[in-house]
Amino acid sequence: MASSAVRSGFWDGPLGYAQAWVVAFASLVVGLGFHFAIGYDSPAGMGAVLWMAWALLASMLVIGRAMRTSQVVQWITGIPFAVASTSLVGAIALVGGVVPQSVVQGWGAPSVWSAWPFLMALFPMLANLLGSIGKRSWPLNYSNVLYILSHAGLAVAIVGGAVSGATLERKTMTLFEGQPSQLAEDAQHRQTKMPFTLTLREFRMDTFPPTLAIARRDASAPDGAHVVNGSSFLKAGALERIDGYKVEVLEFLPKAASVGSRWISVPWKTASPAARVRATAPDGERFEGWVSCGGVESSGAALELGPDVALAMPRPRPRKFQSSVDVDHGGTRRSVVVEVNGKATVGGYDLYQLDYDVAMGAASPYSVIEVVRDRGLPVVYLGMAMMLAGATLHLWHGIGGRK
Amino acid sequence: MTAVALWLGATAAYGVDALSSRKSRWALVADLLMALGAVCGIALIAALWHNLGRPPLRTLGETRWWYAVAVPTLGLLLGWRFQTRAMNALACLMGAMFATLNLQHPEAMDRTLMPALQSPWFVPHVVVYMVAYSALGLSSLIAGWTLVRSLWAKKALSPSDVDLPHRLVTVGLPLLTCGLLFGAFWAKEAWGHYWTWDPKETWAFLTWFAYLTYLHVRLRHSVRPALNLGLLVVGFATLMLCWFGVNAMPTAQESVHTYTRD
Repeated sequence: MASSAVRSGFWDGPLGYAQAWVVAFASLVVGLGFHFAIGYDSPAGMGAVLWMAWALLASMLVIGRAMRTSQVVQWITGIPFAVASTSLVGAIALVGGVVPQSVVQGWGAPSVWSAWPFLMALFPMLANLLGSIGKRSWPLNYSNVLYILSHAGLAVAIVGGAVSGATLERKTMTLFEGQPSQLAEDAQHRQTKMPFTLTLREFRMDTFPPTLAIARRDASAPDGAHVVNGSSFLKAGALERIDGYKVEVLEFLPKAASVGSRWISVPWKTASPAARVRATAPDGERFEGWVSCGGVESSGAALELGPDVALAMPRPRPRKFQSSVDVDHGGTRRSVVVEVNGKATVGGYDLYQLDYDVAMGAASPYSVIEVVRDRGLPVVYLGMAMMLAGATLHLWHGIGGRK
Repeated sequence: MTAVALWLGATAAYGVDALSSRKSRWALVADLLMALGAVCGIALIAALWHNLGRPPLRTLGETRWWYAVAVPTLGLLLGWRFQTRAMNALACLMGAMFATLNLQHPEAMDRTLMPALQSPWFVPHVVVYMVAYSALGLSSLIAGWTLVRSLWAKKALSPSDVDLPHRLVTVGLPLLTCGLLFGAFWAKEAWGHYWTWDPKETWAFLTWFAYLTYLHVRLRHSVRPALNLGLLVVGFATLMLCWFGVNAMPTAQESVHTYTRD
């Protein structure tokens, strides 16, 4: 009896932080319930729950406006509710930021971000966000427009993200040089036929010129050696001081192969760079010899500077991965170049450079292209643009542009 | 080295100004030293950029240089804009501390820039973040200092104690938002995903959320300075974890956002 009276009083009085925390944790409990009851193997079950949640959330836009004077709506769209619900989302995100996804998968969820507890924790946060947008949607004065830009921008981006998640097509096409392919594979290795054909003309991997490094045997180091890298790109005549040694490049061959104790220049695409160097130790002792990082045809070479010290050439760092591809689509053929930070678009699909045969490096016989169609992207970009506009106006306020 | 000396000199001059009756003269000397330090720092970054042939923004050590320069520069500019010198000494100390850290642990900088970083978004994304981190760092430093001072002197805090740190947040948080969005645009261009909950992205989200929480709490509880200042300290701790701590976390191996040379 007494307990019932307390509970009644708890919800009847002014609604604030305590009640908001209860709702937030209730959403977490519901999420845990779904985790065990529905799980993740039933797309129909998940879809039904998520559609209902979205319908309820959409109604918050209208409720927030139409019932803005109601005490409950004031509370749901107010700051205590916002703080409690966002803190819960933040707390779960913290788990995702610290615990590796492999551990989370051991708990039965594909990832923290698609786990029921996270999805359900988003529900009160979005209810607060959408309700408050409805509440502030009119009149369109400066203050409300600023509010709408930042808050509705976030809401639109999240809605776009949800549309993306539900409709995203992400597949890979493994292309071998000169062989046309229309087949793409999804993450579950299911193959589908794409509405276009891709033919790899050439895969190119450019590297930066190599550098040198001094390696010292060190049992306490993670790889058993303490390495000090030089910073100069190799070229004949280059002079550099690395870890106390004066190192001079006497000869540099960008593509070389070893012949006995020396290296000669070769025209092969897969050949590795090599350099003849002279190193002068701090005590004046001189060492001279060949160094190379090695490659597909040759093993590497290092110059011994002492029992536990050597001058070596680390593998050159990649500068560019690039696939030249012929595209046959809708009866026309054109050529495109796909590279990291340089996508191509074909028939509504974006093509990205994803992978290659790492062991073969520049001689990789294939290139893996990622094919993405994201129908939610325009909505996401609209939301982001609104957020950017809101942030710019807030910054203008921050530096005192408008009081 | 010169910048560190100038910033330490400026800190000393601000200290003398606080104790002296001829305030304006010492304050002007301090302002001048601070500005000269900032010029030296900017020259260092320009020289690094020129020598490396790429923006010096790739590794943690390189971004530390930017931070060391941005904090005093921003402190001076915003101090002039907000008509206060209250943050200048702390800004100089923070800049000197970060620069000294880099001088003590010099990082071998090479000229390579991996394909993922060769994007028009690279410079705006990182620079906007560095300026945001500077404003938010200053804000939290002042918040922490105010809290410690009030505990030490057993003096009650006043809501006006939050004014300056709050103004810095109103500069830093919009920039943090821009940095986050620039990163999303860039990720879409480079990898085809604008958001993947990569550990670094997750911590960037947490940092953003921490400051959003502060902002909302402040709106409702502007008369509770200890709560506001405490949240700013928590926000900065999150920011530091995002910047430096992620690499040491169990999730670090899942991140594609680690660009320090192995």
